[in-house]
Amino acid sequence: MLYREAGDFKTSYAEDNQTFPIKFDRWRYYVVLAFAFLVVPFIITDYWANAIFVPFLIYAIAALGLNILTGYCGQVSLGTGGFMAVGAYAVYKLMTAFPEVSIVVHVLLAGGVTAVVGVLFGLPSLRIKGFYLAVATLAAQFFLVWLFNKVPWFYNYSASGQINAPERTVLGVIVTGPATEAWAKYMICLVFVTVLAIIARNLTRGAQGRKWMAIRDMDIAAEIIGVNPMRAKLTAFAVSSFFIGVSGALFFSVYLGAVEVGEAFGINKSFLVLFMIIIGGLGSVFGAFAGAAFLVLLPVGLKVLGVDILGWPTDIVAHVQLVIVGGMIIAFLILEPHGLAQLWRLAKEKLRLWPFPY
Amino acid sequence: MDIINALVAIANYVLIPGMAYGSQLALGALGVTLVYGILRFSNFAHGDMMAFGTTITILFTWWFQSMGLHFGVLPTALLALPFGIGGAILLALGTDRTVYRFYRRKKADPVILVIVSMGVMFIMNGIVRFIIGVNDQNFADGSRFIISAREWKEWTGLAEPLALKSTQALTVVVAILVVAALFWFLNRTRTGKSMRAFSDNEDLALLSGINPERVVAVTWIIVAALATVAGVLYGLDKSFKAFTYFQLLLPIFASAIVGGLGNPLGAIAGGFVIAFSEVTVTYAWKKVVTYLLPESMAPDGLVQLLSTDYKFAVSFGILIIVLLFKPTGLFKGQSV
Repeated sequence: MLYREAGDFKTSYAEDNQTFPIKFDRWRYYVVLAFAFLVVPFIITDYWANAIFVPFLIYAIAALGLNILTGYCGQVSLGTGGFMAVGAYAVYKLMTAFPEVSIVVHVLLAGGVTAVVGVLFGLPSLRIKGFYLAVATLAAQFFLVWLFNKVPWFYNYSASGQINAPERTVLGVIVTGPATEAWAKYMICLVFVTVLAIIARNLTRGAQGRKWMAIRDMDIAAEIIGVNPMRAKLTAFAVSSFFIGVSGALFFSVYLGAVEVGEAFGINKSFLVLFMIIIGGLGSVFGAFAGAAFLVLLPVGLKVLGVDILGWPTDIVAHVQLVIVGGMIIAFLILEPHGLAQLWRLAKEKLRLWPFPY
Repeated sequence: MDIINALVAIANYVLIPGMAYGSQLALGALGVTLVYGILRFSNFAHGDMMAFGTTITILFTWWFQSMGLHFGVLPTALLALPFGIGGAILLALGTDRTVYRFYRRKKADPVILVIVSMGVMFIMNGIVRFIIGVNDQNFADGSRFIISAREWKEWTGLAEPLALKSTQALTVVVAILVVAALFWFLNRTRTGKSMRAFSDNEDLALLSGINPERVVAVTWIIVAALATVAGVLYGLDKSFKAFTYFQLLLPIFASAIVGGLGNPLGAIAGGFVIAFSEVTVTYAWKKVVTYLLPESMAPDGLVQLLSTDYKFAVSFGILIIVLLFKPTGLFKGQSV
């Protein structure tokens, strides 16, 4: 009954085109934001931050980025892990080279560096598509991990080959390094996620997003109506890599603190983020969040259920998790190719008509 | 200058391992290329299908060994191989029925099928780990060497040893037999011809009365058999570990693409190209160079282009070059 457009009069074009045309949705959005910014930081504990909230927020950024590339522009990429590594190593080099500059600037610059690298590896997309492109980005993944392992300059010649995040502050609060408090980690990620999600939403519904979608739906037709495929594809690679670089930078500096590249940014990370956007929903900002939440919660939930309640050995639960994730991918592609986002959309549509569905 | 010793060193460290590895890759790439030709998508689950077939084979091998059944000088795994192939065929036909057929009916995009096969890959990976765990399993038995390093030295009196492991010889022999049988099947039998017709032009093949479901089923049976043979040979030669088989997927894809996807001859050539470049680039050439050059010019370092940790980088380097300059591969394959 509350969930209606009725009575909510739009008087300008901008109002007509807003993201949440229904009043209830708008309020829900504000309530979620207020809850995330004003309530969660005061009640968050170390366990909740490290196991659920911080990884969820960081993966949400990565999923947003990959969704721009794969969901909106239709270019399959398996190089997400490698690009996250670029972000992580860029932020590490910047943090150690310019300690007096704010970490926020460094994270954004790291995103910029990743964008440049992403464009470079996006160049093959001009000649090849589909599966071949997936293999080319897979090559990017392996090449980048190899590079960061092989060239000592990237890890400042440290003996272990690891990179460690030094302590940095934002507005006097420690946000990186081992002394960080849970709420500070959570807040910095939350701010980045909110800003980037708003940017992603507005990019994808504007002219640029329409160009990307035109390329995705049929590249030849898009070219004929005047979309420059080279620019559209390369901007998609750039924006997507920027997001992924920021998420990699946060993943290293805020979340893990110390990183060994093959372990943290291996091929599994690429698959993980790809599965997030498939389960969440290709071509949808909400889908990136839903997929990230789902795949972050799934291992935690399975561990609680399998190890703590049923008392199975940990490795069996890990195998089960593989099978479940694979099964979910197949099931979603069969039953609901647009993922959780589409289920959410359907639910809202039903609710809008309820209780008089005619 | 000692050319004979240099040649023997090359044969020992480059030629023999390269031949064995190349045959394994070629068998794997043949499977990928067949799936691509008939079903028109790239099967990411191929590596894990190899692992599954090998797992079943290993289980039967252990069972035979515990019953005291041996195969003379040849490894017992060869006796268990048919059972492994049978298991892999059941698995392949099962996944095709439950998963791939749905997408075929819907005429889904190849990229969707690729992602689906990744899902299948995860499931198969989980199953394999369930059955046999993640540890190294060694299941080779029978005689270890056809020519051991010591015998070689006694026979020839050369300073440089040459060893030929029985598994390496076996790999090459089995690979040749399997490939010969496959090509005979594809070129001479009715079913093989219908497969080639289906791969060339699906619509025309359907018009001329070829049953697509039958062609697909036969393809899966052949692919499962090839995958199991390749997996068992690789496992005999090195050792079995679920994770290595997933990694093996990458050089296999590289071989199939370098040769030209959908072209069986290309897959074999690609397998050897990838294998030999991996082995030559990561081999320490110091020994050979020392034999060939006068002593004053002997190198100090290992003369190794890349350390062995990065042999995958080699296949990807080749892959990128081929994709950029000749996306259809060395032998004309299909381009997406």
